[in-house]
Amino acid sequence: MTQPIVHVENLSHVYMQGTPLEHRALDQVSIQVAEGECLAIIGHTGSGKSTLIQHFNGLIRPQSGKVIINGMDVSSPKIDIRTLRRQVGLVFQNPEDQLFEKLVGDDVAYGPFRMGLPLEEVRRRVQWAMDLVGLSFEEMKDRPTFALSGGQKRKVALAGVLSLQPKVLVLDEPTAGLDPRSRLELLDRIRRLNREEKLTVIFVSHNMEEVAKLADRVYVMANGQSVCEGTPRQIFGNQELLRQHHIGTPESVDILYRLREQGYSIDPSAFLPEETAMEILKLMNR
Amino acid sequence: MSAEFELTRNITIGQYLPTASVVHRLDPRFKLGAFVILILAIAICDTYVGNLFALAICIWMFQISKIPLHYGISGIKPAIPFIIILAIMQLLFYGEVVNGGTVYLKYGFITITSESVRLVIVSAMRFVEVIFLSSVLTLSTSTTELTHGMERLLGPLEKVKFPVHAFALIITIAVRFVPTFAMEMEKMMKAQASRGADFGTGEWWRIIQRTKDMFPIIIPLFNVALSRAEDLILAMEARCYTPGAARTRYTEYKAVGKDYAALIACIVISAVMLAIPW
Amino acid sequence: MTAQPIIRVENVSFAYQVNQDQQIPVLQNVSLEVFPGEYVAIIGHNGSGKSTLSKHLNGILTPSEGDVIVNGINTREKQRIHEVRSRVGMVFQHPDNQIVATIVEDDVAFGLENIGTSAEEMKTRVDFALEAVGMSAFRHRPPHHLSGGQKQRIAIAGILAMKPQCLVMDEATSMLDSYGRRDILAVVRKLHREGMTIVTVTHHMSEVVEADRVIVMEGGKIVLEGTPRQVFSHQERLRELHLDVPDASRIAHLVHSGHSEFSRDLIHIGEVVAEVNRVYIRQAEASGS
Repeated sequence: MTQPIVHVENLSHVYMQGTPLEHRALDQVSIQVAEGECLAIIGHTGSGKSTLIQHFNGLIRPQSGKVIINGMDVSSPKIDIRTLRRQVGLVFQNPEDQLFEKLVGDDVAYGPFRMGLPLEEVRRRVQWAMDLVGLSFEEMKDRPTFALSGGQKRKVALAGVLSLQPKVLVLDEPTAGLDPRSRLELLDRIRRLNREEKLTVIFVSHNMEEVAKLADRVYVMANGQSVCEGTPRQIFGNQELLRQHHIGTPESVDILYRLREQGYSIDPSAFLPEETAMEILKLMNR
Repeated sequence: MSAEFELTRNITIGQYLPTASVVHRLDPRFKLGAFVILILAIAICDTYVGNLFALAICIWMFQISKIPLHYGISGIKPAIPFIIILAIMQLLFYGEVVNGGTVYLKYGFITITSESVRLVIVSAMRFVEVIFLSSVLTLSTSTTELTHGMERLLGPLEKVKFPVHAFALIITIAVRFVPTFAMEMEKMMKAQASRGADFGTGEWWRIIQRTKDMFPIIIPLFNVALSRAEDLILAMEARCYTPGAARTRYTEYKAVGKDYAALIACIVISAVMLAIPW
Repeated sequence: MTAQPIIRVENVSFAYQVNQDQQIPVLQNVSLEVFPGEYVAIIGHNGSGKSTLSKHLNGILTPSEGDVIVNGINTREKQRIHEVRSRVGMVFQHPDNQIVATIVEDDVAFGLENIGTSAEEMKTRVDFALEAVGMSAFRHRPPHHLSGGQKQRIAIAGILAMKPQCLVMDEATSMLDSYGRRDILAVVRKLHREGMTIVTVTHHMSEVVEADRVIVMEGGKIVLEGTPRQVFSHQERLRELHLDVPDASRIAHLVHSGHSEFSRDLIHIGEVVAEVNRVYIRQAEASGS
């Protein structure tokens, strides 16, 4: 394997150290992400996912352990934090809240303008970023942001981060609170960013259907530790582990497990509904 | 080093310290009332011994409320510059204003008399006493009790059409949302920093630029606050809230012997403080 | 059902007034009845009018045309609105935006204070409501340290304390993680079993399959209505409306298209497993004989 683009080694983080409210959010976490990968981090609320991803663009500096992003050591005091933040685009949960310009185009242009790029380049990047999230530049750039639907606002916010042209895109619960249509559309866009634009994508999710559809590889976090790593197939195939860490499985996986418990010879790692249907058909047509 | 954005998360209004002492269990109405009386007495009392007595009482209050004194002392620390500046001003300029006393020094417009020295020392002591007392109050009373207590004490104002209920509700909601907005602000700062924003790194004299730098946080926070307020109004309406209508109260306070005793004790302490002639 | 409906929505239309001569129509001639003890799910994508409809059920919104009658009271009767709202309680989407007080038990009592319940009565009702949602241990906590699911349980307790007949949930689980959602669903299921009427507005098909009746909205109108089984049998139509179907239903359809003996009218995972058993055994018998 070539040098990973994100390399985390024995990272620990304690909030409010030395107070009665002290809380260990990360405990000796090690994670590697290869360039071009689509990685999911799962685990329920309070497992340390959010704290971990904020290390990737230096919003939180390592208290102990190492975070190396594309060769840059985040714990080094000499690191150029602006360069780091251009390489790692971080999209927070409900990013539509962060829009502040009146017009869509201006909001997407905020990042490139802060980088001090010339107007022409800013315009080019805004167009590029809006295209990528499926917003027509000509049609949408002069629309007022407040009049957009929730799903559209979220796309604008995503474009605002993409316009930095990061190498790594980090998303915290990208589809939380969206309706099924907007959710599917956004997932599709993220997949294309990864597959076609070759962005390294890291996303945090509790939606297992989403993980099944999108991720190449999954890390499972619990109590501030990374307890397990593997392909979705391996992770969903390990029901004991999932039960132990209270992680729900997609319905299709549940069906396979139940069938296997009843003695059918079935491969429980087929996690998409289509695959599950195929497995059942195989049984039927034997 | 990692605390760059975490300043806001740790805000707690009135750091309640539940040690379950007798002071904690006092009726908040009586506690607030006693507090107001003591503060008034401190404001009036300008004698050395009276203030020494008050200071001793304050320290004793830490003891009976089982709160370590260092909580009070840490409250004084940020006030020290103010105390010093105030002391210097009083020392330099009050000699002329305050009549009487022996003149220690007269140099140009500066006059230092025994009276002005007393004022300086007494003022510093008052400062410490007020901080100690407020610390005991907020450390031994939850914000909920404080708002309840305040609402009940202000109750008589209803007669002059002051909307006491609404006022108390506003304060409760404000207190309720402080941690929520602190988290929101932290998230907003981080989100904008992630797309290249800088906060407060510009030169301080470029006030307009620095204010503009804050727009990406202030505007979204304002929007979020508005939409939260709209949601909250709906939720309150759905639970039968009508502005200005009569409501009953879930928490009822019944004063018992110790509450009256505490109030009377504080009145006596205040009287003693003011009666001391030196 | 012969009983009187709790809620009767009669030919309701609703439009948001943007300014004097511009209106955005949201609901068009919607009629609906909710009967005691029913569990009704309303689905539809954003902008279909489902949330607006739910806000009519306890008079938060009043119709532009038509009437909503709750237990015989028209929601237009402003002076009886408290009666309506204490019969039909409502839990909203954002866990954080519906908690008023700084202490959990104070928040649960908020509605009771508004309808003038006596202090002793409040105590028993708050105890009951916190117990019903399994949050008694948290009664003295400040709400901001609770998880999203716990906050929603507090919101439900605040409604339960008012002893409503019907609980309306307006996307109440959409901001929660799978863990929190499971908690809320368990609470709702229990309430329903004990006789509470439930109306839930949701995107989550796993919640929809628990309902007795599903109402599908599109463009401010009811376009499909029936039991979950009936509604999910219209997979094509639902796809046109950009709505999900439960995985179990999807899988049943897929298997059915490859093996016609396999029933496609399945919505629960247990049913899929049972159907596999049934078909498998029949085949074994057929090949054995």
